[in-house]
Amino acid sequence: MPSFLIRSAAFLFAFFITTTTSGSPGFSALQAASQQSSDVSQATAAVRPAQSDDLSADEIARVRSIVEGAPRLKALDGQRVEFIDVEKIRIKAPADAGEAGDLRELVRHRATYYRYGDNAAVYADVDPDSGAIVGVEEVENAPTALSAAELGRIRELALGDPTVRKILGRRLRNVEIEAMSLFTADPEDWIYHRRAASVFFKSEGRYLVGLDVVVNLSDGVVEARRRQAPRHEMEEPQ
Amino acid sequence: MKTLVIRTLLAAAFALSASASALAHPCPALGPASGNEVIQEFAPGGPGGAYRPAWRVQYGFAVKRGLYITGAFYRMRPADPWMRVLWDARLSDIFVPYHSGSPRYYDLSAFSFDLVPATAADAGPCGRILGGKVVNQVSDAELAWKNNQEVRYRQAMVLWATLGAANYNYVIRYEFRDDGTIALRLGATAENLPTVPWEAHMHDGLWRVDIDLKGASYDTAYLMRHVEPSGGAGAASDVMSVFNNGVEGAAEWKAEEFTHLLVRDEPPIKGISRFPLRRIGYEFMPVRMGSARHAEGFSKNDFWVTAYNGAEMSLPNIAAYQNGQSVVKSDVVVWHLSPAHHLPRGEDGFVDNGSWNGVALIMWSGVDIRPRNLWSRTPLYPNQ
Repeated sequence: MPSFLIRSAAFLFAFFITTTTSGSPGFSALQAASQQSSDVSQATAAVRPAQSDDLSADEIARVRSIVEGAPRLKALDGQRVEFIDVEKIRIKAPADAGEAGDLRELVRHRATYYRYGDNAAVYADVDPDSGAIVGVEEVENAPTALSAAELGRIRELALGDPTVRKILGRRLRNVEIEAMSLFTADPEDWIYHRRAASVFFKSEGRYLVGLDVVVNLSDGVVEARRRQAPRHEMEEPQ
Repeated sequence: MKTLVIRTLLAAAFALSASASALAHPCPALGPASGNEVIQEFAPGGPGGAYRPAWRVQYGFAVKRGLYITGAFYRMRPADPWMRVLWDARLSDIFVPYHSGSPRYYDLSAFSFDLVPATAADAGPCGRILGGKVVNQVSDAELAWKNNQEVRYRQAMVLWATLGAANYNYVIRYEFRDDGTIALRLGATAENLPTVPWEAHMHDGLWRVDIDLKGASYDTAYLMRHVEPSGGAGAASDVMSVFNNGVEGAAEWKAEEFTHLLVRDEPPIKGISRFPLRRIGYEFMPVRMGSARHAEGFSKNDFWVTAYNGAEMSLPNIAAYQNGQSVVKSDVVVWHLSPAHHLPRGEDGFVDNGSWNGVALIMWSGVDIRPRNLWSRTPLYPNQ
């Protein structure tokens, strides 16, 4: 019996080795090809780690001081304006360096502001090397992210609303909030050209249903209402 | 006892066979990655394996921008010089309008959503994680060509990452194939909007592709249309015309016309006797289930071509970018609206104790960017 077991185990081992190393001819050919004479096939780990394009806090502060300290930047002057963020953008050098494709790349740091008075985004591009403002653009009704300060005001307004407090009840103490910027193309909509966000509430990692909350930051107004819980059944479209 | 041993051995053989099958397919080799660049060579092809295509791809990632390409170069043989194909390719935004008219989200520009960290499960047994958030894989499971007993599976280098967008996740995926094709994809997944989980909506990928064929200059945009009927009974034709009479503008995708866009590098290349002069092009071929037409002006078309301007990055602002500049023998940028329509199903989830408990399976949209006359033959295949 032991010799029978040993022979069987040896057979299974040989079978396993054969099937794991052969594969289909096509795949074997690919594998062999990948292992031949390639200048690029050996490395699987990154030599230098990839980096995100997000700017450091120091870089952001420098751009803000340049833009907000500019003496005649009328786009931001004397108005209710919210700083949103600074991002890195790449621009091609004016001249084409030829067919090799190694064009020169210019880096700009773009500061974004939201201007409440006319619901406009203001973009100011800074040359990080010279510290000069190289372009300013204003776009009305452009989608613009909420700043951290605005998110804080939304939380404060939403959780201070009596309807919200009543509906959330005991969950009010542990609820998490997510604010979703709202836009509309409809001039009749009450949030048209307003800085507005809908608010989601999460408890124990799950989104709560049955509550609609919209915060209008432009006017400091909250609209909250109970919503009927969505049904499980999905009706076919008529 | 003997029967028991035989049964045990047969069960072990079956288990080993199953695991062996799973292991039989070796992982395609990943090329070197350093900084924000990956170089990927593919399996050789053509007579005697003379061709060994490769991509050199540079990428970036950031809050509010997701994953994007900052340079892509292709070559067919190791001795060939790299040819630039892309200066930049990215989602300029993701627009998500709900059928009732509100909400209408701009999931990139109107939020500060970031990529979520990639996991070992994301990368799978053959992939790797770059910069903590980007997955890099080589796929070789899709059929590229079959001719009776002959077959070739295409290889492709893939970079993808996941944007965490509140209840939704967006998978942003770039695929660089061995034949020179680039596939851009946006996948919407995770769970439906908790306040209105049964409301139908769209996820529009608003792509901006700065294509620079062999350098930035001398590229011309053309509109390609299939026309049928055309002339005599049963006849059809294909029409190639300079895009929008040669100036910046927009075009609709029409199903019956198989509309696509061609960007061609105008200086001809001296070729071989049967194809003495050719011009390299890349055609934008939408992969779509329909066309999005919303209240927003920018959604009235599917393609736009503008002259390059590094400050013009937002498709929702596209109207302001069209100011009569030439798209002939110049540096052009192609914009494409690629929608996915999500009509929720019972399978999407349910309400449990006042909370939403749902799963939105991934829906893809995108565009393939395929070479035209990059070669005077198909180099990777034996029948030449």
